[in-house]
Amino acid sequence: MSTRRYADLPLSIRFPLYLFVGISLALLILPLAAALPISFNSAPWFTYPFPDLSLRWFKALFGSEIWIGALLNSVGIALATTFLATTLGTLASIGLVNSNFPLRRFVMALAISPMLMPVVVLGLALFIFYSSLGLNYTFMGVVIAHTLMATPFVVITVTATLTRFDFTLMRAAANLGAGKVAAFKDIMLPLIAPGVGAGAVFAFATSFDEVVIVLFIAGPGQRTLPKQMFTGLREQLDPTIIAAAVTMVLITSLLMLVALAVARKR
Amino acid sequence: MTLTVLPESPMPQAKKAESNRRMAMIRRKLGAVLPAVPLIVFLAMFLVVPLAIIIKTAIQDREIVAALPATVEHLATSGSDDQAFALLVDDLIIAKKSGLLRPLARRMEYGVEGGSTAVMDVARIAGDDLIAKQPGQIRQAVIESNSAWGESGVWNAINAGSRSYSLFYLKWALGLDVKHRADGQFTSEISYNFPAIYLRTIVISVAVTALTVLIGYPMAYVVSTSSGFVGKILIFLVLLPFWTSLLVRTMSWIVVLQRNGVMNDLLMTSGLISEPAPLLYTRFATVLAMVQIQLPFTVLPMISVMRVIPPSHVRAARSMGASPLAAHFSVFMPQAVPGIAAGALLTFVLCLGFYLTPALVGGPGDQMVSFFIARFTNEQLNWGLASALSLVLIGGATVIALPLSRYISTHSSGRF
Repeated sequence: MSTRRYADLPLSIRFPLYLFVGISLALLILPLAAALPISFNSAPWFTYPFPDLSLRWFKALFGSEIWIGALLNSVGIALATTFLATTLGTLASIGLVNSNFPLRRFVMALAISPMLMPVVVLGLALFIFYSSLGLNYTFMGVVIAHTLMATPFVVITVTATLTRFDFTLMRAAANLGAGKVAAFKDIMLPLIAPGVGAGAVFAFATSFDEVVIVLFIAGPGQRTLPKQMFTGLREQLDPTIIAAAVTMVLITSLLMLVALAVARKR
Repeated sequence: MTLTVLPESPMPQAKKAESNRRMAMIRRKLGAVLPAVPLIVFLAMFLVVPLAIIIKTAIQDREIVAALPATVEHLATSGSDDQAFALLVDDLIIAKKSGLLRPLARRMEYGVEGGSTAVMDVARIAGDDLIAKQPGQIRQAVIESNSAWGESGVWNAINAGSRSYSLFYLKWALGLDVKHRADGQFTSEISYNFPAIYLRTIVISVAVTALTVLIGYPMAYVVSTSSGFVGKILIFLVLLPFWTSLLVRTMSWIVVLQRNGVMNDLLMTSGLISEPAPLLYTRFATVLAMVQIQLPFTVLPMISVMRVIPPSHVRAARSMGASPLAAHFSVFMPQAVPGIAAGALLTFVLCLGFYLTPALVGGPGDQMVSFFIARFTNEQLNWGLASALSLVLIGGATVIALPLSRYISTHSSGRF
């Protein structure tokens, strides 16, 4: 016997511990692993085994004008949200990591608060506010609401990246004659790009996923994929909805992979 | 034209330097704030103002005074005499034309049983020929149209609604008696038992939090003490559902738990049950789905704290003769408390505001405050009550979260 590791728990404890953790992790993953493949079932049943594999539910999904319209709406809203949230969030983070920022903790808490606020309350607040501005049932209204929910993710990721950023580089650039904007564009932005990219992906995913606020403030013109799914889930579950869910998962995970790849390259 | 150049005011050197320093400081602060200005303006407009409007909506109560201004003014100085009846009919004729009648009827129903009918009945007979009559005859006609006007309840409600702002909706949302019978007594009829709804919200949130902590603690321990490939796989398994859409995860529970779903199928083929069990639309489904959705939120703060607990501490305890479990519970766990508390607090606060999951997988008896906020907004158009409920929800969450978060930050010794 070589070195004895005192931190190790004895096998009699480790075995049930690992078993318990294994079951818990299964609890996390299994519902998804069980539900999503049903979109490939040729029959409209929700049990295994399948009589046959088929893509009929995906065909139904992509053949339906309503679903395609919802998908396009979702992408459009999410792209606009990503642009707005990333711009606002990145700029704000640059200010918030500066120790000269007055009331920094308070502003940070304010910027993060939409994450902790009950979504329904946010939905009601925006609905009442929008009704006086005429923003209810408009594209802009939904984008603003989604930006509000997505910015915290951008602020958190970009702030984390910026705390590792060497600010003497900015002074060096200024010494060499670069203006503030040029220094930001040529020095800071390329270095913090992975953080900004990750923030943008989170912003996109947040908007792409959001349904509760949309239920409050969106009209038929802003029917998003999650809203369409929600309606379907309340009325009659059919495998087309699961196909839509698979599509949603694929789009967001693709984005995550891209973000990861970009972050790794740097 | 002569140009007079003022001599620079003689400023003592020290004072000048002080002023320069102050200017430089202000410039530095402005430089720091400048990039954050767009977001601050955005948040002020679309977060702070809307939340302020919620507060205003919760205490605003102007339907009665807007529709019945003369009646309200008269009631302030005298009772429901003949004159009051005449003014009521006057006001209602105008209200009918200006579109204030329906809001008035709805608001009267909130305060009095049959208040809506009472208002609409008088509005139906209100017309020029009625005003032409003697006050006494008007009174008789009004009471004939709806006998509630002969009692005190409706009049009390009008008198109570004489101000543009009141605590009516907040009292209602707090479960206090606000609705009267026609005879003026508080009614025992309860349309929404809000204290029970709050209690249910708290019970479900506590149950979910307790379960996520019980399941999450061992999970976080194993994940944080595993290294290399296994550690990476484990953290991936925790993060995967975390990044999956909330709606997709809720949907998968519907697929799994429904009557002809995977779970029932599994239970039946294994012979545990002979016919499909009602699993969906139950408290069990709500709590199970919420635990699955919240588990990563509980586990991740725990992992980040546990990762920096030096293993040498436990080793030291073991070398001095502590049993493995004693070493764990007396050395490791106390140091993990900030992470456990942070994860539990985050989970609890998020659970209080859950809407989507209970709405989709829970039964009517599992709906929490958020559900009723959505219902009063979208279906019943009772924005006052929806806003008041929102205030109670946010207020409650803050009251619970603030002292706890202070506890966490004082006991985390700078680890967050």
